[in-house]
Amino acid sequence: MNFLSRERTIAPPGFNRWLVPPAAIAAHMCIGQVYGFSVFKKPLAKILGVTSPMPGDWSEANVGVAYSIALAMLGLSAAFFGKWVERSGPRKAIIASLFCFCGGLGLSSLAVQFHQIWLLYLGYGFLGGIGLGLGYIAPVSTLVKWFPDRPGMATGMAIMGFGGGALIGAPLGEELMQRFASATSVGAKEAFLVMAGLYAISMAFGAAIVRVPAADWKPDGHILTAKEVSNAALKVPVDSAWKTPQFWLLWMVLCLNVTAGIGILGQASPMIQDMFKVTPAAAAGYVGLLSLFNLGGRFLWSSLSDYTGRKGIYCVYFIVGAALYLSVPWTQQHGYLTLFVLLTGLIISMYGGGFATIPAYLRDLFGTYQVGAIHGRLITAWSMAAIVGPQLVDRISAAKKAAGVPPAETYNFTLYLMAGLLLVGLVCNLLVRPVATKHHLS
Amino acid sequence: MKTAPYKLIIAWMAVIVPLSWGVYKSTIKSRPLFLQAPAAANK
Repeated sequence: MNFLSRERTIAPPGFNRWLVPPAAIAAHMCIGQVYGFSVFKKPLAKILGVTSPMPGDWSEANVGVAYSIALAMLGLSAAFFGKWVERSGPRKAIIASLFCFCGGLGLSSLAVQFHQIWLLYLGYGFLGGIGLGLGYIAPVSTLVKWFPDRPGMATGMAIMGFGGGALIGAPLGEELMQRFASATSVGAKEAFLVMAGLYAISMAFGAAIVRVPAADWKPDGHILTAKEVSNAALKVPVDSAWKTPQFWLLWMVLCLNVTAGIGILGQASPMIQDMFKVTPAAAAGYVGLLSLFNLGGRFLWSSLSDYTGRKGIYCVYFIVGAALYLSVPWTQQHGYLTLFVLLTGLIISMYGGGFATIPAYLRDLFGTYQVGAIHGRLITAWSMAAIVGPQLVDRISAAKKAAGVPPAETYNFTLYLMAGLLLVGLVCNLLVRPVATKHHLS
Repeated sequence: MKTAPYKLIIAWMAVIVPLSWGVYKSTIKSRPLFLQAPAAANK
């Protein structure tokens, strides 16, 4: 029985379950760096020219492909390796994620050294993306098992860590590149290496302290409600789960929620500049503020779902979200910048909340038996939305601008479209019913 | 065997410190927006 085996991670009697959230957050705040990848775009597009791009340098669009590959691999690896993650336990999964994600950062450093973009795709995109998938689902499914009384809060904590990863990864990348930049280097090579080292330490720490509950474990002093007892007995294997309509309805719920959020996030900076004529610095500040709303929403909304129920909270995300989207153009017409920031911030908080609540929703419907593997397959919805969503938004905005629509109004159609998508998501959510007993494991 | 309280404190500090740094950097970054907001709103 080695240190990485699942058996070695079973918590002894008297173990305090509050030691597990930091383990989950330690892993998630590393892999969440992917959201901060954009800070590397411009520097990587001038590796040869250093001060400005020169012929032979990579284009920003080509660099951005690495991000898309990473997100695609996140979904695919979570879907393919979900069962392995459940079987092997969180420690082995986090260590595997460490080797893939940090190894990917190491290969990215080599890509800069030798100026080979395929190495960036292989390292940051392919290998790093596998690390994202493995590292995303393992801590979440572990926390769900530790907090049967507060599953929404539990998944909110872990996935808040992923949102926090962007808040750490972006400034860390910028500061490291500034420190290592010279007359002949943009500093990205060294920045990737240092980040790989720092993230490896944090993920190893998470893997070392993570524990799974013993089969007969119950929270101290908590008397399980009838609903919690029935959920504890609910076991739907992943191979059955993904054939149920509930799985695909939740797939649509997540996909539409993410796509709608990207309607704001993907164009936040140009949108506020066009709609309110703010400076680029203020627009960057707006993007930073949205990240804070995203972070807070992951924890707060998901925690609230323990009281409202998962279906109820998604109804709030979709109905309130749609109303907010429809109100945004009105704030522009009347010049209410503060209100615009507040409304879009609320939209993004619910976008984050949607991410954080979905594992608890899966647990409610399918039980904790293979919830990590089921979550892994559902994450393909996120990959799909993260790749298709920005393309959709960019093309609509570009088409509107080309048609001569004033810049301040080019976003209105996109905003109305996002409201429509949320209403479709609402219908999918309302159609969700308990899983038929024929899918339960006897 | 009960988990020692110092283990909990160390584990939480290991994640709260970097997360707080990230929140602090984002707050600083968002400052120009707050400086501009009143002026734009009055237009």
